[in-house]
Amino acid sequence: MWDVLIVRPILNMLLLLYKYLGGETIIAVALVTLVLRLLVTPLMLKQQQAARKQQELRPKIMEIQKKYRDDPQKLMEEQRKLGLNPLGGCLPSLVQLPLMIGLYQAIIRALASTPLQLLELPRDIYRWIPSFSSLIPLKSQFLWLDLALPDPLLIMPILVVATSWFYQKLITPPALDAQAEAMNKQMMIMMPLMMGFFALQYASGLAIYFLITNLIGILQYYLFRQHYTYPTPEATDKKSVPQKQPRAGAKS
Amino acid sequence: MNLWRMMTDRLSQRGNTPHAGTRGWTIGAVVALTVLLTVLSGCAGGLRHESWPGLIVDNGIIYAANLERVQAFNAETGKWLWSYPEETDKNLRPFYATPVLAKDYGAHGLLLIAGYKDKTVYALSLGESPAERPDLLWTFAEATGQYVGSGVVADGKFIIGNGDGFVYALNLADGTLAWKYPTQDRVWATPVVVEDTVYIASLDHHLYAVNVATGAERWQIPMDGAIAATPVYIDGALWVGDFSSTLSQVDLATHQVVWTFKANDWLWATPIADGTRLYFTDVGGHVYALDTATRTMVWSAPTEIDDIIRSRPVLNPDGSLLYVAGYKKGLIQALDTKTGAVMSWWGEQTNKPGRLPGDLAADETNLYAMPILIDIRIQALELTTGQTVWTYPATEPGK
Repeated sequence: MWDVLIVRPILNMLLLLYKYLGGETIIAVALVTLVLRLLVTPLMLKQQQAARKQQELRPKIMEIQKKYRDDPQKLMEEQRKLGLNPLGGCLPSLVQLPLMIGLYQAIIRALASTPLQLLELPRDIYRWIPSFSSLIPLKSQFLWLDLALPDPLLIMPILVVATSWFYQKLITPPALDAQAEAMNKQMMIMMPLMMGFFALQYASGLAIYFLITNLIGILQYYLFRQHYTYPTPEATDKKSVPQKQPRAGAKS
Repeated sequence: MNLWRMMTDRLSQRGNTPHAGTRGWTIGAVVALTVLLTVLSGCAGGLRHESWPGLIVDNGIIYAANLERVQAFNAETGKWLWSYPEETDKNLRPFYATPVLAKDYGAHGLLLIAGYKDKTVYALSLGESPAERPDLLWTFAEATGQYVGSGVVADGKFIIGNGDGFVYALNLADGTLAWKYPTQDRVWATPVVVEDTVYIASLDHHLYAVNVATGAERWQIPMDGAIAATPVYIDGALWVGDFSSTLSQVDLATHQVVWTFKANDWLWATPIADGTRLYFTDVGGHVYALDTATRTMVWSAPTEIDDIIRSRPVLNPDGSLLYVAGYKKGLIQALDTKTGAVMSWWGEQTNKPGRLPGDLAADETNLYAMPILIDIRIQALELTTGQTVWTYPATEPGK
């Protein structure tokens, strides 16, 4: 079911773009990533709005939580009155996550870094679209890279780490306290390194996907910057009217 | 990554105390990392590297390119004779290319093996006795790609295609490079030698004809799809299956495609010929019997096996049964070559059959298969009944 609904449509979209855009795998991967990112952009923005709203209402929420500590049902009711849906913020993520994992799987399957992986590919190709099978194997050479193999010069892992770090820095919300700040810093190091590790170990086509995803994310940040700004902890604590302020590190 | 960040944001904002936020982060990070690691390791094939190992049988001895090393066995009893290297070498594994025996070279013959990961060809000088461990005669490590397809011995050379797109011809005496010929993509099919010409099928959608002595190109023709199956020579023509599901008859005199047949799915397994009859399979599980002289199907419709077929089928000595291996279910089936009917009485139920991507092999009495993803590396089955004769490593009866 997962393959039929998610992976195969993405994989065949990749093949379609590959076929009509000059047989360049990297262009097809970039465009599919872009299309999927654009598809989930409204959800992502909605999610950011929900996060911001929650941040703005933080003093009120804390007050309610304190008041109804022993009455979870009443607590839920009061939170609902404030317009907070506990699942509201997570649901968009749950929609986006399968698409992104599906895209990743489609790229890996299409590039088929080993003969055994290529053996799994025929069942994923739509036979009702003629000549898709004739496209296989996809062109895997791009500059110095064989997209089906790890980057021997380590340039892609370095680029992935750098863009991951920058993107992470842009989208990290302001910390509410020192402990959260420490955690933020830790994650800003851990996440890029983890991405870099995957880029180092796996096919460089995956590194291309990480890189393009980061670049599109960075572009989206600058295009929709107002959705990513959060009220400062001081402002919410003083129960003042929240003001949009660029987060630390963001260019004004 | 953005998703990951957002999910952890949600978790951290669920509780509004500093500690709740930290807990949320930690839980979110652990969950997201676990999901990502599971997805990546499960889908990229990064943690386990299997292959399609292959074997040959000669004069009662099996030479098998196992996952980790090359081994020799007594074909009748399954008794292990030797391994090369003696200890598992992770740089060598896994083998895709089936070993090749050059009987007329070296004191008692040469065994030629080609590694996938280490991109090296090894020539092992066989001993006087089959049980004698062979000596390494030479190696060739100039290729930059992996060896997937096997090679062929002709004109004092070992000719083999590589993942770097070149076909290498190595002098059997010392392993020096005689010539190399470039194609535009990986070469996974075994080159075919007819008289003084070597025919090379490449994943670049072309069939090439090259002078076996010099490596000079004679001609090349485009095909409909990538070619991974070794072409089969019958009466002045090569029969070539490709990933566009097309079986093509290439006339070697005119080097033209003179006839084509559209199968149901990719043609990856190397076909097998019996006189003028050609048996071939596709990855969708269809088995075909073609009379190449009249270009007509012997069976009115292909036999359907509910599995992917990648391995080359084999025939029994009198040609009455065709054995076909399903990749995913690991089931070998015997087909009546007259009708294409599956012989349901043949074979035995196995709890854990593993998978069968590698080519089958047979001698006068037994059928040999090399499953993957299970402990058993080699299975010997009785040709007539399909009952297990022996396995390596040995297993208890009934398991």
